[in-house]
Amino acid sequence: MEIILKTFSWKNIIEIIILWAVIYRIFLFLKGSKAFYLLRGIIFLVVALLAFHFLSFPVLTRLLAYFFAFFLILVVIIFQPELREGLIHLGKRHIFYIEPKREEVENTLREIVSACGVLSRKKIGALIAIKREIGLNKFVESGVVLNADISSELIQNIFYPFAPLHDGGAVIEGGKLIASSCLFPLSENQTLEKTLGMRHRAGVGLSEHSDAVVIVVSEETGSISLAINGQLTRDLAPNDLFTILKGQLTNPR
Amino acid sequence: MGVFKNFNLKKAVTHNFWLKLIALVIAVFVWLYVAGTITSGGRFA
Repeated sequence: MEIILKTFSWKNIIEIIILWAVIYRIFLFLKGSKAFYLLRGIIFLVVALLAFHFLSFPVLTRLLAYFFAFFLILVVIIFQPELREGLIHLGKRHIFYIEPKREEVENTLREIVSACGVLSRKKIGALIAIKREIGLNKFVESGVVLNADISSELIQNIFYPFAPLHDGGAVIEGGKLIASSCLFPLSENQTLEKTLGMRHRAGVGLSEHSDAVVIVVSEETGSISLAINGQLTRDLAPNDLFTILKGQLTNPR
Repeated sequence: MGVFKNFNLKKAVTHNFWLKLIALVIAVFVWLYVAGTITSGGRFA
């Protein structure tokens, strides 16, 4: 320890900062996903390992160390898709939070809410995901990439029943309609109402797999629902939808 | 430099504060552990 402190230099500080940024990005990537619980499990194991070590329980320490090594191999196998996605998108995001321009976000939301209002009145089904920090590229790749400026008319046009892209969900990212006809994962939540259709289940499913805010317009009733973190809020009026979306997307979490 | 146009230092620090703090603590521990391992291996010796 003494040697480390004696030789400590500005290069070591840079090393720690880089380590910090990488660990923070891993946390952000895992936050809100199933893997985050796994991370908590790993931290628990490490704490237990350290406790056994300092309390001088050699057998338990060695046993836990063996299990830990085996566990890490299991993690790589089980979370291979997440690890692959993480590596693909490495470096694509900002290290720290950059505040989005409030007016730009509000304008985008106005267009989305306006479209949802029209679709709701006409009882046209819609599924719209708004990306936040966790990447949705896996789902974007399953659809048709558009990269178009958002307008209420464009969203209505996409979900018009006879339009070629109306099936599946649309993905919005930073004022752009990135893709439509995307396949979202269905929720396996047993507590969801049995009457909910595939569109609602896909909306909830995506909100479970990511931190995206997902808007669902029902084809049968025309009601607007919002899925956030696996929770579905149903029968929202356009004004309420705008207020909730504004709160979710303009305030840092 | 558009990335820095809307940069807000207070928000950069307070946003996900606990996550950042935990990440920093882990980073320091990892660095100390690895540096300690390296030291005992003779890099600084």
